[in-house]
Amino acid sequence: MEIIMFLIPMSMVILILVITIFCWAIKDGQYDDIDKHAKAILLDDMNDDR
Amino acid sequence: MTARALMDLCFHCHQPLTGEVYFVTDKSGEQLPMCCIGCKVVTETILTLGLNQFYQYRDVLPKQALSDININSSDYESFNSPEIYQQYVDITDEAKTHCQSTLFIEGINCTACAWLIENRLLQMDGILSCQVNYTNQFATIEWNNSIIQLSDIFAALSAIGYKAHLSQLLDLEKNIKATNRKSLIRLGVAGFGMMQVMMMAIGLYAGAFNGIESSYRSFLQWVSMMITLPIFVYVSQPFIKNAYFALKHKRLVMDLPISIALVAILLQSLLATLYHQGEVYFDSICMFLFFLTLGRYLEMRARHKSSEVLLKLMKLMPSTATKVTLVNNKVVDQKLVPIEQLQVGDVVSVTEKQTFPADGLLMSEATTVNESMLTGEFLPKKRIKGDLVSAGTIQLGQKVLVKITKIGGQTKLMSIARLLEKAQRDHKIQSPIADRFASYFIAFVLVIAAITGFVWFQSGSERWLEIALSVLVVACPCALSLATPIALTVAINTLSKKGLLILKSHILENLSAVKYCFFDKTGTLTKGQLLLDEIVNHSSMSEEVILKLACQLEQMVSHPVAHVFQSIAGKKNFDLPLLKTQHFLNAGVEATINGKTYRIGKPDFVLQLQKASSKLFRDPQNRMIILLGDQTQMIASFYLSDQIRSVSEKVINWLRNRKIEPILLTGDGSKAVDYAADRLGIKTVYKDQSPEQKYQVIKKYSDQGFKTMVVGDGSNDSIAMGAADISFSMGTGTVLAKTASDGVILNDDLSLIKTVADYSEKTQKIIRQNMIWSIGYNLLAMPVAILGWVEPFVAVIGMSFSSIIVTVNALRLRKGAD
Repeated sequence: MEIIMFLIPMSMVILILVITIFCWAIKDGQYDDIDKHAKAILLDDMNDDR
Repeated sequence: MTARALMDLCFHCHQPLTGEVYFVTDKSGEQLPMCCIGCKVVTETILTLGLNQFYQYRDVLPKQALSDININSSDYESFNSPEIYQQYVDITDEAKTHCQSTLFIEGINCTACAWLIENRLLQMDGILSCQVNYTNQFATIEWNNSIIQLSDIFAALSAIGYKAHLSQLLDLEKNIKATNRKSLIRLGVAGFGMMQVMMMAIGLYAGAFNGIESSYRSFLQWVSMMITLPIFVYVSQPFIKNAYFALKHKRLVMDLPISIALVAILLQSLLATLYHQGEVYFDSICMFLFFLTLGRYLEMRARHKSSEVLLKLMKLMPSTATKVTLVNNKVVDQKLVPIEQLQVGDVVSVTEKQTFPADGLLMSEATTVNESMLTGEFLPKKRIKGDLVSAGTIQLGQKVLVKITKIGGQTKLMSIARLLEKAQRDHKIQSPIADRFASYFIAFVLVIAAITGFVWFQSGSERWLEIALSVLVVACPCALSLATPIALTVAINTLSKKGLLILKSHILENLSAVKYCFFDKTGTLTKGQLLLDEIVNHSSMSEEVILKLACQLEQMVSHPVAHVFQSIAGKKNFDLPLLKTQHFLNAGVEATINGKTYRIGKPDFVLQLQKASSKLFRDPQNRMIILLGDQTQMIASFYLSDQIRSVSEKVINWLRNRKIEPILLTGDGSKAVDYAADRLGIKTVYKDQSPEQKYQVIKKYSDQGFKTMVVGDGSNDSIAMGAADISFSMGTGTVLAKTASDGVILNDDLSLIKTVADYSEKTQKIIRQNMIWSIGYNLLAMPVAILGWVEPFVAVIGMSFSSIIVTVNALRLRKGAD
């Protein structure tokens, strides 16, 4: 079970990473308009048409 | 595409095809019908750019494009002036070519619009990036100014049917954006942290049942603590701050006991971790923080939504004005300047259909103004030289000059905006009664915990602190503090899906006690727009011919009376040839057809043409009379009225069944009021009331101890709304009315009042159940904890279970929402 002494600190590093990325995404404005992206998947295939 | 099935509708805007039909040929060779040149141009542009997916994915139809489509970029040349660039464009590099600006775009209805704009602009040479925010209708555009200029961007947007406005983010909006981001980060941090700590907690629980080496146990506790501490410091800030301020002002708020409990539980867990004895509650702390933050976040979103209405309106304010220089009352020079550069005393010229940029005095002889934005009155008002005109209202006459008296923050419109901001700041979703009760209960718990600790200390026990804290943990106000807000949040969200925006949640508590309900007439019980009620034919012509003639005369006029005829022409598919007409201010329209002069308009104006004496035209229902005549005879009279909504009668009857007395309280002094009251069976009528008188009437009833409710739509109702216990405004009402009211009926369906009443009852029931459950649980568990018998892990499970029950119970309010 000694392995958890390594794995748990690792998970904390990942936690910090996740929170950092999350904060970056919000500050980048990615969550400012939640409605648009729900439909983006329907509209973005335009480039394939041509 | 849906439009093909409806061949008699315009492909672009789905208006019925009246008059000349234009055609656009699409890729497959199909002829698409268009109602006007404007729609044709827009559709052609969209199709030739290969952006036809717009038509598949839009969910709201665009407005008719009409002919105010400008595709020539030279029309926007004035936007390239250094003054405009300085004010609205950020130039980011040395060579002054890399520009960025944020434009407010009028006409974004759906996500497909956002997609269309982004793709259109990105196709242009020189556009570096474009991001459209569908929610607040802003486009942030970066471009290379040596290739493309601001005027080209305006022209391109115009060609696909959108009108752009220069804009700077308003303070309120920046504020909303910042708080929204901050709360989202808090919520995310609390959520991620909760998941991690719970993972550790599972290890600890498993250990408690199956045995665990104390070194691992200690390790898991330490890790939980290290995750919880920073999260606690960051996420709990709003609660602790609130509690601190309340304490300073000697008020008891929910946040105070929450903070005390949070800190106490944290302390207990810290001690347990450091001294290797007792239980840790880090997972409970994180979960509690997450749910509280989630509740606050949802609450905040609802609040922000209500300010969007006003923000949109303020963004339609012109960002530029044409400043003129006068010498001996003659215009010698005119220049487009940003609105911020205007000063009191400046003279600006405002052309037809433009919005006044500031409050000012009219210098030209006379004009008509659409003030519906401020007053809700749909008929244009006449303004003569020297009269005051307000920023935000729309100029309908010929070009006029205005001398500015008030600018920026001093204007009437902005003072309303400030009022709203204040109201938004002060308001929180909570239920005062339940809140106070919960606060007292928690205060009681704190006292009991303190006494318990003291008694155990006196009796010489070393466990006194641990036992006192365990009382707190068992009686943790998690469930109790979630009981009310979660029920209110769910109810408010459900109601907003049905078209009712609750701005102040006390509606849900007080509605059942209402005794008197006051209704405004115009725009509330009635539709608030003119409709043709009756035609009286005075000639030998058929009614159809007469209607056609009237529609032809009115087709080019921008006035509510003319709009009545224009919509008839649209419905009946009249094919109307264009006609040269002359519009007389506040009187009517004159035109010559085949050598014969016709007039339509006010009785006096038409009778003048026949040189007939001004006969008295009276209608018992006091409807508006419009005459049509030529030089020799009177052809017909049209009776126009503002019709009563079909749902009004139903609502009035329902109110009466619930023993709520409906009362008509209106500023209208005409006989139409009595007629409406009669039709609806309203017995008490107050008519011809000024805003202050309305307020006095409400006050009279409240002073007698009756609960009152006001439903209105105009700014003149807003003072009365403040005085009433509950107030609703209509979605089509003025901004001031919406701001003053407790709830906005977005789709103008009065029967929603009944829905709110039902929900109010249901919500009260749920809140009561939640309170009984959480208090009952706490009361049962506390004596056991006081005696020091509580198994720690049982306390934690009980606490979490209690919160979950409360949440699930509140979610029952969503039933029947979707």
